[in-house]
Amino acid sequence: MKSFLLAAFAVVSLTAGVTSTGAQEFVATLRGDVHLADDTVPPAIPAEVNSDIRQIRNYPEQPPLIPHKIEGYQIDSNANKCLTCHSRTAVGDSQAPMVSVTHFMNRDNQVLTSVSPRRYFCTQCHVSQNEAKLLVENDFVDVDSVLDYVTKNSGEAKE
Amino acid sequence: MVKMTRRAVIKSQAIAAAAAAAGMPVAAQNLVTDATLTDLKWSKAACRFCGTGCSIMVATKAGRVVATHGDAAAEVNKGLNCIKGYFLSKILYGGDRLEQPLLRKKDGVFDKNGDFEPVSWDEAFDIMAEKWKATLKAKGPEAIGMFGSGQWTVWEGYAASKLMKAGFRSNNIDPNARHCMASAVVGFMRSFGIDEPMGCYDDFEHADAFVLWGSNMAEMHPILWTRIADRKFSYPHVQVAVLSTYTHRSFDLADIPMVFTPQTDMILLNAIANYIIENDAVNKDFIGKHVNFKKGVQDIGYGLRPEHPLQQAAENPDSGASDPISFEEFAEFVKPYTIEKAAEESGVPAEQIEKLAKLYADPDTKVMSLWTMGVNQHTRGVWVNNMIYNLHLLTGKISTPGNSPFSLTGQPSACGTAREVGTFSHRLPADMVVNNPEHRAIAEKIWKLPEGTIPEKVGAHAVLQNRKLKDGEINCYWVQVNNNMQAAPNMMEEGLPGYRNPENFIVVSDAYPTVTAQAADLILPAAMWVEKEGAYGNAERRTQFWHQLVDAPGESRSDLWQLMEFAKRFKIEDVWPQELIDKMPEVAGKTMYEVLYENGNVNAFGLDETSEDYANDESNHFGYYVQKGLFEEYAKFGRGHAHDLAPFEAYHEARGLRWPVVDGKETKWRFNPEYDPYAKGEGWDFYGNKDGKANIFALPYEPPAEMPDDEYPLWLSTGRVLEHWHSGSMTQRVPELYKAVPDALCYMHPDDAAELGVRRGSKIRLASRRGSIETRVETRGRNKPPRGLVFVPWFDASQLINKVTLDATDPLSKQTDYKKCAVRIEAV
Amino acid sequence: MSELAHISSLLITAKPETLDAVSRQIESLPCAEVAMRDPAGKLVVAMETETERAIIDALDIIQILPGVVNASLVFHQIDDGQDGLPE
Repeated sequence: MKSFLLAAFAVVSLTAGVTSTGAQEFVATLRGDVHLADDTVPPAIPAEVNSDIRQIRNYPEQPPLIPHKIEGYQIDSNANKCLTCHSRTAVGDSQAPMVSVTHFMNRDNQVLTSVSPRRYFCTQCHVSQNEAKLLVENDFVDVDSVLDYVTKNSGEAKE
Repeated sequence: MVKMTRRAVIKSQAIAAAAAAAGMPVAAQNLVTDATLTDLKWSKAACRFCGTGCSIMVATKAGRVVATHGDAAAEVNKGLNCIKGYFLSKILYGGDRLEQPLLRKKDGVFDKNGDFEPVSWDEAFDIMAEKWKATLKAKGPEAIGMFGSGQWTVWEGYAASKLMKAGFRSNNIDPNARHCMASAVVGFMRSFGIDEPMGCYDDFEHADAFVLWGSNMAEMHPILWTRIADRKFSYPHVQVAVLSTYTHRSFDLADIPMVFTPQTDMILLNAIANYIIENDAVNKDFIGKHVNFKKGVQDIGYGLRPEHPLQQAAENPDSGASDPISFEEFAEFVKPYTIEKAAEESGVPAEQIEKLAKLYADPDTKVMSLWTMGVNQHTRGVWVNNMIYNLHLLTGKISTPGNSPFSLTGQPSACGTAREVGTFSHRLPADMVVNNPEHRAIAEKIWKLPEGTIPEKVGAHAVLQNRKLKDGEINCYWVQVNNNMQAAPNMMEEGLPGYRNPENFIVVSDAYPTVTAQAADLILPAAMWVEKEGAYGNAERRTQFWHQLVDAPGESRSDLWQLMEFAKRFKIEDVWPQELIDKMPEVAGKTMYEVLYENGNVNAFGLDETSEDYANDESNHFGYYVQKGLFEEYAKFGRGHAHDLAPFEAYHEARGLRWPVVDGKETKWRFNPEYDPYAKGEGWDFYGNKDGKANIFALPYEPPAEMPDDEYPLWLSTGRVLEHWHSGSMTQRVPELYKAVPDALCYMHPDDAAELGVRRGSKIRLASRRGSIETRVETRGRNKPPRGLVFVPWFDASQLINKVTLDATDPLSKQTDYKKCAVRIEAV
Repeated sequence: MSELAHISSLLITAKPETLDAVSRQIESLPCAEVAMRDPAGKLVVAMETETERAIIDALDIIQILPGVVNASLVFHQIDDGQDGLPE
């Protein structure tokens, strides 16, 4: 059953893997068809995504991506630019999402009055995105797609 | 686009409002509530990336990993992950996973210059065994080599080491941890006679000061950085000093920021030692009872090829010898290293150096020193390790909560697999070495092999392996679970000519088609991470296990399966001389697999002992609980020898345990009788050395192998970024991580850029005496080099900065200095 | 002013045996869709219209469909197409 499922998901994938038959001179997908000794042309520095459109998370535990530019943001022992919009008290004016309640908890899961210092450096978990073209697709499917598949094939697919 | 998205959201709110008004269960429509469908199976695992060793909870459904998050029950990370850890779910699902062996062929047969064609495992192992046998016959075991990794699971590294050292009888096996941790290892052995940190991560919650020697923990060890930030912000007296050759994110938390001229860390360290002595801050009682003073041999060369002029010029190439001296002689030795001299040489203001020195000198300040690649990837890396220990030993600030010289690691199992198992070319398990006859005898006894099986000669280390490939001295070479063509230094002069040498047959096992796979002749598809049962050991001596949670795709197989299955291709007569077989006639006619793995140890545990809740592909294939058998045989080396591991099952329950685990209890601070059952007597017992004392070394400043000059006027430092780990082979395939940092860039000072007539985004050629790459300028990024230095990360398969780097190593640890070479830049 | 959109939802109560027919007729309106249905006799209708008048017109039509007992407006929001998410 398991392998059947995997095969079914593989069909969904749009990427051309290295599993295709036939000879290939180049396999290193991330590098493309350039000999190892030769230079590749470095792509122009892409623009930072600044759409303010929130992206769907792959799973609820995933930290949300930052949908705006953060270039030049100060996050150091003196100031945290992110919290000027995302702190509990700031969201009334900014209408930005408030930092999650998990961020108020310390190592022992005690809830503090303000954001826990261990969560202070936002960019350790939250990153903005650049308008770069993917070198290779990723075939991860979220749990809803898995459930869809399981329900459509219920009876045989339940483990 | 904007409107559509927002309208969809408003619409769903509208529907929910009406449904609520009607008392209709909104869940019935857009939520699946059937428990049999929504139940996820959550299992623990260790993170696949760095040496921090965060514990992860992994959710699986219908054979797929669907979510991951930080394990709240784990002491290391208490529910947190960094951005990479939060995306672990996706590393298995890059669209170009290797699912079949690929062999270079022309007209249906193997051809070194052919293109890659899919082949069966049988055909793959046939050609491999043919090449191995022919080479063994023609040139003997020294022409066989293997390059592994601190990403191997503990049992994979152990099985590989046994295959090479006892099976093929070649010590030419080394892990990529050589590029990462080797200087730390030799540093530990020289100062303490036993490897790995005495303290543990609990020190983060006890220290009053943190000193980062060349480490950028904010990006490279983000979860440990959260513990430092937590401590610093929660306790205002806590100080953070950050030392580096350029400004980076860790400086955001620094009270004492110090950007120093490359290589002058040695001067700063001696100056602090001198300050401690001159200001009467030496802990005389401690040094009297627990310390020896030694003077190390000087002018030891740069680990370059013997014919290199720098090697020719060295007075004592590769020598780690030392002579005993007195405390007074040591004091005299460091006397010329004044704060003023250090300021002049390093470019750091004297008052900053003094502030740092006071942290060490003040008896009431508990200091945690932390370092990784800035210290270890250094042509005097071992010395710098020793010099950091000097400061802690002079002041007695060691092995108590918060007083901790702490060497961090890069690979997820640099400690567990590379160091503890002993996959280095000179090592055996539990800190033993191949050139010690007693150690070899112990290993041969545990392995049930005849005396004389393990060769005495230290094998080729990482950099030497590439040189030997180029010179045609190693002809059969197997690379597992690392991307050394992208990592090893001086690719154009050593690595690439070595792999493509027509005399050589190169095999690469990986989950993805890396740059190294591109350079190979045969590519073997590998199962990765939770597609197999595994164990890693982190930087604080913590061993962690996980179960196989999903199946590997296609025909990919774990490295363990590959190693053991390949061993079946050899009769013991193919690999051992007759006189060795004669010492143990019962092995005659058996396969190498039977001799090494069906030896009554590895196959001692039946399938009935494997977990009912999880698959175990290797055990089912071989017919016994192979991971347990390998682990228990390996554990025999350490039990009773201060490397005690708990029983196998304990690790499937706990969020890891820190060795030595004695009577079920882990050890937090070694050498301290209060915490360490192996430490005897009062105060401290440095039992790694026979006299129970640690060593302070008098070592001078010596210059780096290459410095900027008129022709190549800039320093080049390489390194990583937060979003990508290893060579980017996993993280570059996760869209969110890729789009966060898509390409390597050359970080430089805006004034240097202006002088070169370039600006942010300009295309440039960056060249050394060895090779060059094209890249683009970044003047506003997260790294801010001082004038005269540029930084280029190495995760990018398209911009191979190792074409530029120099293959100079620390002469003692053989670890490459990736932080210093001379380059020039021109606009293109 | 095509940038503006009126988003609304209606709650319809109808005789259970007529639900299919009522749903079909609502779906035939250009601006409405049946978002949820309860076999006991309730429908949730989502609408996206260019004007407020269109909502009232639709409500009038639905109210007199055979089998419909009651139809009421529950939610109404004007989306002006400017940046900023509604949360």
